[in-house]
Amino acid sequence: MAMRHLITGQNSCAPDGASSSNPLNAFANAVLGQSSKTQSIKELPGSVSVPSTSDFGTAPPLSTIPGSENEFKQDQRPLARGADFIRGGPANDWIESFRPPGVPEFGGAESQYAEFDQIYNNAGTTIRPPLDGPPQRVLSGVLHSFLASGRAGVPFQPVPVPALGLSESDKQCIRDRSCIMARHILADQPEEYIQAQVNTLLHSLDIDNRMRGPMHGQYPELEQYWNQSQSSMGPASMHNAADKWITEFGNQNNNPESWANSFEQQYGPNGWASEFEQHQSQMAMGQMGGANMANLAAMEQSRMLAQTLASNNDPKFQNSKFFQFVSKMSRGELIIEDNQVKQGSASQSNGWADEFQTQYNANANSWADQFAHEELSQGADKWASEFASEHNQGTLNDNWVDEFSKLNVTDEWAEEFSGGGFGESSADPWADEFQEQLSSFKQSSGASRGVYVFSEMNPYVGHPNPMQEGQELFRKGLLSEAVLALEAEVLKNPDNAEGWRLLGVTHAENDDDQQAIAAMMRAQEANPTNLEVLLALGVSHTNELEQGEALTYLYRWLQNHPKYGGLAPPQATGSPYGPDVVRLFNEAAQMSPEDADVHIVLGVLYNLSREYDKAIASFKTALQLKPQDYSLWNKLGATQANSIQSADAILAYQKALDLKPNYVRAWANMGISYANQGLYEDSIRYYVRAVAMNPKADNAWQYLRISLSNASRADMIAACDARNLDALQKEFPL
Amino acid sequence: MPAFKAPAPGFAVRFSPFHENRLLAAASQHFGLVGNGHLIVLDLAAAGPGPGAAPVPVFSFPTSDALFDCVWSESHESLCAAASGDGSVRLFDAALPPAQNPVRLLREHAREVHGLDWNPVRRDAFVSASWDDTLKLWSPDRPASVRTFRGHEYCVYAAAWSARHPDVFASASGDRTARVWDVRDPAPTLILPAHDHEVLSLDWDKYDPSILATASVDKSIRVWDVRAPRAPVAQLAGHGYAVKRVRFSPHRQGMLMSCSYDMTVCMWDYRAEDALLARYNHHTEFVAGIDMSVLVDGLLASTGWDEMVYIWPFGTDPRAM
Repeated sequence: MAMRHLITGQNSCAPDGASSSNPLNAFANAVLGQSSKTQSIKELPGSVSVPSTSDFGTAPPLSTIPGSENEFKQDQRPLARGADFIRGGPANDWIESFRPPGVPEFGGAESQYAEFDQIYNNAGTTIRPPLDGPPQRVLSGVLHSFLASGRAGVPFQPVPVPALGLSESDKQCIRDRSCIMARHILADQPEEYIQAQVNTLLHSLDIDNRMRGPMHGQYPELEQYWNQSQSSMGPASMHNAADKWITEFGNQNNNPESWANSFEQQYGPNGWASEFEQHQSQMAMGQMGGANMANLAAMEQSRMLAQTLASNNDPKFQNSKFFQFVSKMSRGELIIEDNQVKQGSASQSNGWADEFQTQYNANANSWADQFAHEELSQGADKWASEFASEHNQGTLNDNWVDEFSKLNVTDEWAEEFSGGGFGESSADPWADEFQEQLSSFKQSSGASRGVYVFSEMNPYVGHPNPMQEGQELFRKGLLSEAVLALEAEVLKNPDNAEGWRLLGVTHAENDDDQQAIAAMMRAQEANPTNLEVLLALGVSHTNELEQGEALTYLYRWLQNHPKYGGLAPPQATGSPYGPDVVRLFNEAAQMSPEDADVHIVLGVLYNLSREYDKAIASFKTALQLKPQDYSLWNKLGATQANSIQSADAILAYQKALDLKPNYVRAWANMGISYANQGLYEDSIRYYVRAVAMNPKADNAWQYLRISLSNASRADMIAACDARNLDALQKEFPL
Repeated sequence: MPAFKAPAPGFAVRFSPFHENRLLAAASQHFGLVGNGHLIVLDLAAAGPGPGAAPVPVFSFPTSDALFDCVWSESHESLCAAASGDGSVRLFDAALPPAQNPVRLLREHAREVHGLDWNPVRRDAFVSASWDDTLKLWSPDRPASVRTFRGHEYCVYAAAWSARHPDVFASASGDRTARVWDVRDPAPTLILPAHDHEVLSLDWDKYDPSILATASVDKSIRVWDVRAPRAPVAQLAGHGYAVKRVRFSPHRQGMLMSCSYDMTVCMWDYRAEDALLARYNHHTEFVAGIDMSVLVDGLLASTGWDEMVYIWPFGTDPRAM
């Protein structure tokens, strides 16, 4: 499983910057846009003169605020902050702790923001600083007319804005939350089904912003353009392009191995590069058409989601307003009308957009007054002052923060526990049990991949030079054969780190992560400092959602690197802390921006922390340095798929396959991306190709089965269960 | 005092530990996916007896993002906290006018805050659980968190303080573990691989400080003795979908309340042979919030995505009140 495994679990939490979710904020930001964003930062707190003795919402002097958006972004990376507080501020002096020496701007931005938030919360909304900057100018124009039309009671007629980027973070948020909820609700369903539901929902939101015209047929010229672009821009309209490309591929030769050979014969070893370049320029040409294609595909998915929901027989779900909501949202009914999330469930008479509007209208002129009032009332806060006096009296006996840091162990239970857990002569068996339990838990989570399973019948055993043979086969892309040869090698030379490593890489490319990890662990035993092995283990553990292990290996990569080793201090026990590792790698990237590997690791790390935008940027940077690295294209694709960009992912996988046609993992990933877009028939063809190349790719078989059932091809499920490749390939030729 | 219609799908309810007639509720538009949140304090006494009378909201505050959980302060009668989708924890003083609220905005979590619990023993502390995989310990008098607890490998959905030990709380996470933490220790004192699916909620027995109940997406509730965590003491099956929350009774040892995506609320006695005591079918959407009153024995509350808040005594029909 490639990095696509990131899909299956980790992607659900909101990435940084995406957790601010309310479109209202984006609206308000955009509307107030240029006038409020920076100015409010400067002026608002400036006009608040807060007595330094007040208890809550204390705004610091203006001078502490540089006024740049970066302060707000720091908001998103608060993790080091707590520690700073503990170190920086005297335990009891909380006023002082507002401005700890280490992080002066934090206290500033935070409390100032609190003011701001407070005021706007009166109006039921919050102005929030934009997290990823949409084109403010364009947006505010549109939104002004939106608000104006709302006031006048005229239906909002939006100008079709290409890529109305304002709600990217909102969309991400909707995606994250619905994904997590869907996973709770649909626990019995396969992961891919959940993914499909969520992706469909999100794609449809895309339509609502961009495909308004074509959906209603209101913009014939757009449709026309679309049709034209589809016919003229081959490669970018993926569907066509993919088919065409595949057909070509198939025509050339049905046997992938000899295809690779014949290709080399025809074009020489450099043929790859030139074709790749050509292909790339075609891609660039067709970008516009590609975007439209994605949207059209999204329409198709909406329809499919509706079908899926309708086919769910559970009456609870049939009647659930939540599912109706999701269904309507995916059909665009909720947003198309007046561009508001409005028609929701019947009981919700008022959408948030409406609410915002009324509140905004009502308060637009009075917030300044309220603010003034606010200012007066500062410090009159009853509870706060009450608390302050209490606090002053109680400093001595109430200071449990101190106690906490002193590690007070007089508590009975704690004693029991630490005595049991760490004492030498523990009469209490349960601590031991706990330890045992813990280790058995650890073991069980690692057991399945700790052991490498060799193939039973191996013709390469006894081969004079299986290593060379394996390398050769790997280079040719004959992965399953290469596995056998390399297994013969490591059976012969169990300490051959390179043999194990290549075996691991081969398994990874052949879409078998369990074996890949097992092989890589053996490689690491043989040579604990091999950078490629450490990186591969980091990636594999990332795929398996094992954050701790992944971070440990990536950190070790840095430690063992001749150039960056100095950056990484020796690690104490336990796995390193994610943001620290990210920081170190960013430092490394600054040291040598031309080192693609550092950017690759950063991409992996950002995947781990589910910051897909950053991950995509890192992989793209690496690709500029290493455009021929097919596994890198695959990583980019997987990350894009994990984000909300299945269409882009397909382009990336395609590049990976251009560079390495026998890359089973990329074939399977391609299938996943099509499935995520609801294009199950297409996904089936890719899965079939993947399992035909490596019949041991169990995951691909599972995905194939899911796609067959989603595509209502129950007739072929038996063939899938029987792993009847002939029947499948006949039915689903690529 | 039967039902209250909330302005949006309900996510959490909490009885006040100070006033038997006060109930805190958190609601979020559009099922928490996007839109505003609402924090509401209901006065149950104002409803009066008999059917038809509804609790009256005495405090209502809209927030800019969804609210997933709420909790009353154990130290001050009108102070409460709400967990917001934007990663913030907001403190409100229900005795103050909206203009002076929130009294504190704690913005540290990088992602959605999904669970809150106030320390009932050491009453100046509460803990928040977030989708950023961490928990944070807060004191209402401090502008920043006191400590961050890292270790979970996926979203943390809920936290619950021990009713007995002032420094001990437990957390429930999508990484399929529950963890027990002592605030004085750097690492969890127990990592409990509680279920094969995500763990969504947990609570401590108020009478037996070693008993912990966990609720999971696997539809079951498991009761554990943390001194012998190898196997659960009891497994409660009966919900048809993921179990969203579980709470131990503050009045009857062994009694549990749970709610689920199967749209029901269940009462259990984990020590009884026939553990399921009652099943309530009054909600028409997923039930997301439940609580049991500390001050009135047997008084129950629930809220769900049907936007209803129900308050009823154990043994009666929630809709009949």
